Amino acid sequence: MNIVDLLIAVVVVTILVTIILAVVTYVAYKLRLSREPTPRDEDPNALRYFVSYDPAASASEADSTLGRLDRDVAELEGHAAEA
Amino acid sequence: MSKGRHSIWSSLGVVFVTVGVTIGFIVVALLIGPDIQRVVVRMVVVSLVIFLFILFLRYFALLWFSYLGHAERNVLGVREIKELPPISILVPAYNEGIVLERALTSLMQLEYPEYEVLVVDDGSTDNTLEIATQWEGQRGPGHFRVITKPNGGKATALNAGIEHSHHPLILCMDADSYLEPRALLNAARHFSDPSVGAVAGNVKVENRGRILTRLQALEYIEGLNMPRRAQGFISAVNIVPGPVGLFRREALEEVGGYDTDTFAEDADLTLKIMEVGWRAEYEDQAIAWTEAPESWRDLTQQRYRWTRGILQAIRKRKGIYLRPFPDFPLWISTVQLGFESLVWPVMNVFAHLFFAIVAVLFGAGELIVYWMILLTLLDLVAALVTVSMEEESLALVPMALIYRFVFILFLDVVKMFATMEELFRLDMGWGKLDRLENT
Repeated sequence: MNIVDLLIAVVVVTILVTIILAVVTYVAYKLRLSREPTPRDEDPNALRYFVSYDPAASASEADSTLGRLDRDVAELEGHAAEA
Repeated sequence: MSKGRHSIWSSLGVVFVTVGVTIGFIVVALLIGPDIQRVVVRMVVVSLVIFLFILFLRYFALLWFSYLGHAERNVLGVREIKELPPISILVPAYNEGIVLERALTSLMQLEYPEYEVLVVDDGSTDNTLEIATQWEGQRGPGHFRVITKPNGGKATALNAGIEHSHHPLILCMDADSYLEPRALLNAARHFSDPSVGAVAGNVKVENRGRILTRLQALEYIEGLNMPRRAQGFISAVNIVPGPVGLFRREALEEVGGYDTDTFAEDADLTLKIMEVGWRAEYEDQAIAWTEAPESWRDLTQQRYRWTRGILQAIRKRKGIYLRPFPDFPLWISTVQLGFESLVWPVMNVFAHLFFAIVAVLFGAGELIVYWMILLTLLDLVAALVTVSMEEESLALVPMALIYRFVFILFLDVVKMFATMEELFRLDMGWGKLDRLENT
């Protein structure tokens, strides 16, 4: 194999390998891009998994729960006294 | 421009159709009779001669005008300016916590009498705002301020910066770049000419530890700065680059700042400014160092976005192509932009493919090897000339040996697919390159 044949082989292989690698890299880039999370259309503040904790609402809810318990206890004590 | 979900099947379809058609041509070329093969070979040779002619013409025109630009600066000297106007420096930043500190440090060391630095945090989710805030209020040569806004893209961040800035000249830069101390001083001189609306600086690759980044360093010098220097000679630079571009506030306000409908806001703004009659020049001593992608994947992502962005900017002003006059420099500059983005990559990829096919199938290998040797010599000479003009490291010159056959060919394949996707108007996203802490 003389030097020209060797150069022909080098040039042809380099060109073909580069083009093939470029196509493969491009496809890989696109595939990777498609796997990235994309922004959702839905409201980002909307609840998905957890119920958020709101201290003010929780406090009023707790108050009302305690009030209800107090009423229940008073009612039970009333029934007990009657009995 | 659509920014919706990436359509992977459309993108893959483009690739499959292109590869399929190419293989189909090769199969047909193999199956046809010897008479037709001779005709095909003749056609291929004629096409390659035309390709080579265009390549040489482009190269020598760019080299010549680039040399004229260089000589003009060195023989006639730089333009003097009586009074240096104050400058507002805008640093848009989205999740640039790793590199922002270095950019801001470089801004503290600028040699310029009066400037302000405005960091625009574009709704970052990392510590960008925290780092920027540490600099707020610093007074030295420059006064640092920080504004923050919901994430909306680089163009909106720059527009917000323009709105909050005060000075008559505005320098836009990237948060992953840093400036040489005399960058402002050298760029501002061009504004002694009242018709100059923008000045493009000289962007250089900082990270040169790998072959890929060294190839990009050479590309910035030979493939980006050389054409910019040539365009600067006719005051029609078609892209004032994102890492360092100085603008006259009047010009920015006249065109309404940055548009948000392209992914190459720098090219789009430059063309807009030139369209209304301002001139755009190049200053090779306004140097910004930037971080180049270190992987082929990141490089693919970057060039895909550049190509589609430039095509979007061109699409917005197709009419220019039909109006070479009265502004011939603008026309030639836009034609060059279109040619480099749209025509050249496709031509280059298919020409190389035909080189290979003709060499293998039709026994013209010897001719093609000589051809390639000639092209490589041309690249070496061009690299030597441009590297010398920029007084850069000569160690970059040997990269020219693989510059055309590997690096440029690779990029042109990516550009070709990006062009086809843009023509079919497939969805695309902005993408964010991984930043490197060590650079």
